[in-house]
Amino acid sequence: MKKRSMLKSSGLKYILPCLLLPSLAHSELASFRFKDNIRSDGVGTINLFTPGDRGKKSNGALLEAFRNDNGGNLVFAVDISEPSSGSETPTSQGVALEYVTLKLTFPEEVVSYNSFITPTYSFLKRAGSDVPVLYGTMIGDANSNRVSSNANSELNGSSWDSVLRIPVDRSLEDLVSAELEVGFLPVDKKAGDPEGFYDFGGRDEIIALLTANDATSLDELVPGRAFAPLVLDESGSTLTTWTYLPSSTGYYIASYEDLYPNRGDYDFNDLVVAYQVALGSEGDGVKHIRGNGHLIARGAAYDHDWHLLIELPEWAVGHGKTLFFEPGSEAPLAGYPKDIAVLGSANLLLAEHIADQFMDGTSTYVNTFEEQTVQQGPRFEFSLTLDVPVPADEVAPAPFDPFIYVHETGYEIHLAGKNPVLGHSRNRLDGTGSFRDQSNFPFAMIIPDDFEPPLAAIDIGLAYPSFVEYVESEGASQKDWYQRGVANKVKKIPFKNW
Amino acid sequence: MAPAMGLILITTLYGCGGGSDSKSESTPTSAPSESVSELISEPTATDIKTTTAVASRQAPADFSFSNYQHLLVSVPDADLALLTPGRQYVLKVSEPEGEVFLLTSVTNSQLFETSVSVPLALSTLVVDVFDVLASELVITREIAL
Repeated sequence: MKKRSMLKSSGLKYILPCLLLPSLAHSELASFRFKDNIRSDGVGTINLFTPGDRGKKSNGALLEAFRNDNGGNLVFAVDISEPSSGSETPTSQGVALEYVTLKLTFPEEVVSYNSFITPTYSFLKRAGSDVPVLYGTMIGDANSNRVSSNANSELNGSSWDSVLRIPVDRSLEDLVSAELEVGFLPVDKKAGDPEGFYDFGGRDEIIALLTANDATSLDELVPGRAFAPLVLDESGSTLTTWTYLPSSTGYYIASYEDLYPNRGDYDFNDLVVAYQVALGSEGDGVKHIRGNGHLIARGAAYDHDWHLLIELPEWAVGHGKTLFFEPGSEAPLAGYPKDIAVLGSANLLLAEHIADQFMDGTSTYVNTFEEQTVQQGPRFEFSLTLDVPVPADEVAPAPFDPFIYVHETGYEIHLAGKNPVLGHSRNRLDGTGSFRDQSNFPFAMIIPDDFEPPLAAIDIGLAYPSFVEYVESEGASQKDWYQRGVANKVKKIPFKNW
Repeated sequence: MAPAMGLILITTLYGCGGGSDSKSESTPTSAPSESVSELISEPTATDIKTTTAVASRQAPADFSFSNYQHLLVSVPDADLALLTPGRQYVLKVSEPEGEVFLLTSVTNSQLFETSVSVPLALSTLVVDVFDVLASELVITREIAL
C-alpha cells in the first residue's frame, strides 16, 4: 500500500504496467503437461516445446521463467500410473529412474544435463544383476483430484504424483529446442519387494512442468509414500520401515463355517477371504497400517460382512479410509473410499453384504463347485495412519482378528480363542463365544495361501487327509497339510483369478 | 565380499501348539448338520453323509489351529560388530523363493529387532544385510526353522 502511494504521487502511474510485466508473467505461470509421454516400455523422449494442450505455447522464454520460479531448477511431475500387482495398489505405486538427460540446443551449442534429484530412493537390483544399487524413485497413487492454488494449473483435478528436479545453471532464453529423455529402471518383476514394487509397465506415464507452488504442494503431499517399501533418502537412510504380514506377496487365507453355533458340513468354504497387512514404523513405533484382500470363494446362502479387527492400545488415535472394488475394476465402488476413524482398536469393516457383491450369475455359491468356472471376486484395501506411533509390541500380533457377521443368524464368527466384539450380535445375548464346537474344532481358520478350499459339502478332513493328524498332533506333524489337498475334492482358484 | 560368519537370532515367540497334552481318541460327535447349500437345493458334489473325517474326531482343547509361527528376528552384537560404524545397511528377511517379510534400512548403531509371521511349513528363512553405499551383500544367513 505504501509503495503504491509513492508511485502515484510521483506521477509514474502510466509506466506502471510496463514495470509490472515481468512479475505479471511470473504470477501467471501455470503448470502444464507435455504431449509426449514416458511410454509403457519405460522410455520417453519429451519435447519440452510441445505442450499437451495445442492452445499453449512453450519456448525458451517460458522454460526460463519456470527455471527462475524454481530457483535454478526445471521441476517436472510424473503421473505414476502402474497396474495394481504385487504390493503396488491404487494407494501406492512406484517406479525407479535409471537415467534422465535434459538436452538443450542453443544457437551455438548443445548442452546435456544428466544430474537429477528425486524425493525418494531405494536399493534395487537392475534386471539381470545381483548387485543392488541406490536408485532415485518416484512414488504416487491413483488419486486424480489434486488441487493447485492456481486455477490455470493443469495440476488441478489431475493425478500428478512425484517431482523430478533437474538443476540448470544457465539461462534458457535463447533455446532453440529442448528434450527430456527419461528411462525407468528395468527390474525383475517377479522378484519380491522392493524390486516388485518399483517395476514399470502396462501404461504410459504422463509428465508435466511445475511451478514452484505446485512443486511444493506435491512435495508436501507425498502421495503413496507412506505405503511404499524401502523408501530411503539419498544417503540410504530409511524413512519408513515396513513389516509385511504374512509377506510382501503372500496372503493369509481366512476360511469360515457360517452355521455357528452348529458345526455345519465343515467344508470351510462358506466364505474364503485372502488378506495381507503391512505395518509401517517410523521412529519408535507403528505409524501406518495398510492392507488389502480378495474375496475368493463363497459357498453359502447366508449373507456376511467381513471385518478385520486389529487390536491397538486404548490410547491409539488414527484415521484412514477403506476401498472396495468390484471384480476386475480399478475404480472403487460407488460410496468408496469410506473414511474411518480409530480410537483404540481398529475394527475395519472391509466387505459389507457380501451376498450382494460376490455371485456367480444368480447363484450365491461362487468357486465352490467342481463344474463352476472360476470367478474373480471383489477386492478391498484399507489404510490407516496413527496420530502417535504405537510401540510394535502393543499392536496385537498377526493374523489379527478376521471375523464375519452373519446377517441371517445375527452371529459373529471369529477364530478359536477370540471374543465377540459387536454390540449388536447375538453372541453377547446368548453368552456364546468360544468359537469352538463340542469337539473343539473351530468355525474359522487362518491358512497360508497354498490352500485351495474344499468343494461344497466336502469335509475338510476328506479334502486334506493329513489335517486330522495335524490337529491331533497339536501341530507337531503334518505342518504342510494344506499343501496336499485331494485333487477332486478341492477347488483350484489360481492367484490370477483373485 | 564373502558372506561373513556370525549369528542371526531367531526366537520362536509363539506358534501353533496349544497347551494341552490331550490327544483324545476319536470321540464320536453327531453327524454334521445339513449345510445351507442342501437347504436351498443347490447341487452338491458329494453326499454329505460321507463327510465324517473331522466330525468323528476330537481336537485338543487348547489347540490354536494357527498355521503360522511368529519369530523374533534380531541382529546380534556379533554380527553388528562386522559392520562399519555409522554406515547405512539394508536388512531383508525373506523366504528362499523371494517372499519378503521384512525390509528396512538400519545403521549398525541400531539394535534391530522385530517379529515376523511365517507359515509353519516354512523350513528356511533367509536374512541378508546389504551395504547401501558399497552395493555389497555383507551378511547372508539361511536359518533352518
